[in-house]
Amino acid sequence: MATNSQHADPAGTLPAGPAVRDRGSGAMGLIGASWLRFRAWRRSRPFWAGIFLLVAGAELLLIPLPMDSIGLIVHIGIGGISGILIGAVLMVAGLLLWFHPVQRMFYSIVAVLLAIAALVASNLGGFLIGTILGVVGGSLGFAWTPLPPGTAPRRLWRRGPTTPADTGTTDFVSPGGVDVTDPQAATAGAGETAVDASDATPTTNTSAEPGWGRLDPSWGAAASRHTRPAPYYRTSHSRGTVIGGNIFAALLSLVTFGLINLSPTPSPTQSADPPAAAATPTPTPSGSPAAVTSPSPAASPGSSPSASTTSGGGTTATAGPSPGASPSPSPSPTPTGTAPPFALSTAQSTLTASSVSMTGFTYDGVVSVPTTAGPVQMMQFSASTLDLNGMQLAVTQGGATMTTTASSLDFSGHVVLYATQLSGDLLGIPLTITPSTPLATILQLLGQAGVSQLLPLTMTNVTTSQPFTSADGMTASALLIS
Amino acid sequence: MSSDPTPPPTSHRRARSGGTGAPGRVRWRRFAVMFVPAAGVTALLLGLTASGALASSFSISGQQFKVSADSLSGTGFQQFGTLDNTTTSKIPVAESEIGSADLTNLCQSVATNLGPFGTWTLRITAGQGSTPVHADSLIIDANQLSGSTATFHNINIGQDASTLNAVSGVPTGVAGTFGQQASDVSISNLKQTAYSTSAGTFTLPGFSLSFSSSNNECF
Repeated sequence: MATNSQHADPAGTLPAGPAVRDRGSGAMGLIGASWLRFRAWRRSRPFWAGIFLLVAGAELLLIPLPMDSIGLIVHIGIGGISGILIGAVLMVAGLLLWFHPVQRMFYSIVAVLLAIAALVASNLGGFLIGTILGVVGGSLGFAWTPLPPGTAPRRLWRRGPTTPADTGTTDFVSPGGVDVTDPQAATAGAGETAVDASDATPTTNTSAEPGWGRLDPSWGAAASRHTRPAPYYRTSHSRGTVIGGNIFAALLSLVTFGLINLSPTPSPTQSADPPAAAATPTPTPSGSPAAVTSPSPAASPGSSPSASTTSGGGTTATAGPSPGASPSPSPSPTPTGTAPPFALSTAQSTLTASSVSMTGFTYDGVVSVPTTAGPVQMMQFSASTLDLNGMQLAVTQGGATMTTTASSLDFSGHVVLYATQLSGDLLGIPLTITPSTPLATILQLLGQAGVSQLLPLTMTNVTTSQPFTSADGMTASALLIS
Repeated sequence: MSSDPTPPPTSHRRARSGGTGAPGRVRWRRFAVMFVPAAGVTALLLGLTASGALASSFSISGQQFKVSADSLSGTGFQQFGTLDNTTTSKIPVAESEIGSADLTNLCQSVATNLGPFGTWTLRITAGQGSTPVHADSLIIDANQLSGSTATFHNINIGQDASTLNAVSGVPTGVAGTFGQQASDVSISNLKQTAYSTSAGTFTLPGFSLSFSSSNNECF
């Protein structure tokens, strides 16, 4: 109760103390006391503005960032990062409105601006919900004004004895009242404070004036409130300034950076930039040797590790059949085949088709193709067209199998197929060829003689292991990946 | 408080609660000074978005949603298998990445079961008119993807997912895993069940956003 009366009665000298204490010492005194304390705390800051901003921030934050998968942040790119940052800053702004209400103007304006920016930067502002809550919360924080000192305690004392039920219920009313009594409360409240301010100090009188003119003096009033003794601010004030202010400033700079970086080519690796990029300008050459050497190498690999690896592969998408760029580590065992210029997958994969029709089909021999697990001996086939019917591609990796099916899959133009095993019925004869079968050699000889190129071939019940296919074009019908 | 059995005369108190008894309160005219222009700017940005003049950035993850489009045509395509975290489990997905995509008649929906409040569906549609939806650096993790016809050019199927380079500035797969890429892609009657998506810029001409208290998904 002692602390409560401090909260409820900032002046500490007015006779409100006994009145409050009488009420609190009932049967439910403890609950009543803590409720009173919470109410006093709540009323002395823009409480509902904080609630709105916390909910808005959480909503914006959780759409790109589900609670249990922080690791996904690598995947989600700059859109998700700006959403997370905006959400975090809105939540911090909400907390700071509670614990550092003196700077509520700044926090509120920042919150409103960020809530609007989220519309562009993060999932249409969390599908409008986050933006609306943030704008309302920021506006509430902006509009919240402390009553002039002297009025509040006197009211408490005056109303205490006359309407004793007051304490428990006004709290529930005031959130509703905030919404419902919109214009009436504004005018009535302003009128009342103006009357009361007549016996208060002249400075508070100006801030209590109704109308548009109220805006400007209150900015000054907020500043002058620093110097006035205001006990319900003082305890939380110092803490909020140091910790909250720093967090807020840091998050704000991150958001600014994120928004600036909303370029058409976002890359998740850019998220690693802010610390590095911020670090580079600050250390001047005159600094310590460690500071000079460390930032520049740290910033350059951090800026584009993925971009360099991806673009470093060169030759972009058309790299497939072009043999010129082939950095094949080991010389091909056969002169006809050419290894692909990039590593092939080593995941367990099987391609099956009920029938395969090929034109211009040749067997190019066994090729040592690069994989991340070292070179693998594979057979290489070429064709001008390759049409698969009833195809299914099953890839098993990480304990999960993904299946691609299509009623027809037609490759055309410079079709190249690599596989570790090929089996099927050719002209009714079941065949299975691997890099080590003698059949492969026969096929190669036939291919070199140009026999198979002369006539279209059809194989049925085809199964291919570890297939790699590249072609100038591919058309799939009834494609389904699941 | 609870020792007082008499219910309060609320109407009388509500009128006074705005200005009395509290150390601070909301001044509604000042609220309007901030809220009205902010709402105006918000409406303006929404209007620009709907006209296709302003691009939005999207990033959703952790919940199943559905995407459909009458047609998708994209430049720069790559795809590989990976695992997506959801709130309950890890789900194998095919991560499709498209450098620049145009989609007609795009529909995106999320159905959420809110327990006692029933099932609610958020649905966004855009690009029905002559101007298609445009997305840059589009990434979709789908555990099911279908199209009535799909055409690719300069395609590689079976490339190591860590060496994919058809789209720049997007993550690639784990070394050794199965990947594919193509210089361009066009898919008709696209349907995807996805768990996460992100797009750096997304223009949504003619977009509409609706909440409905039933299952109103795209397909």
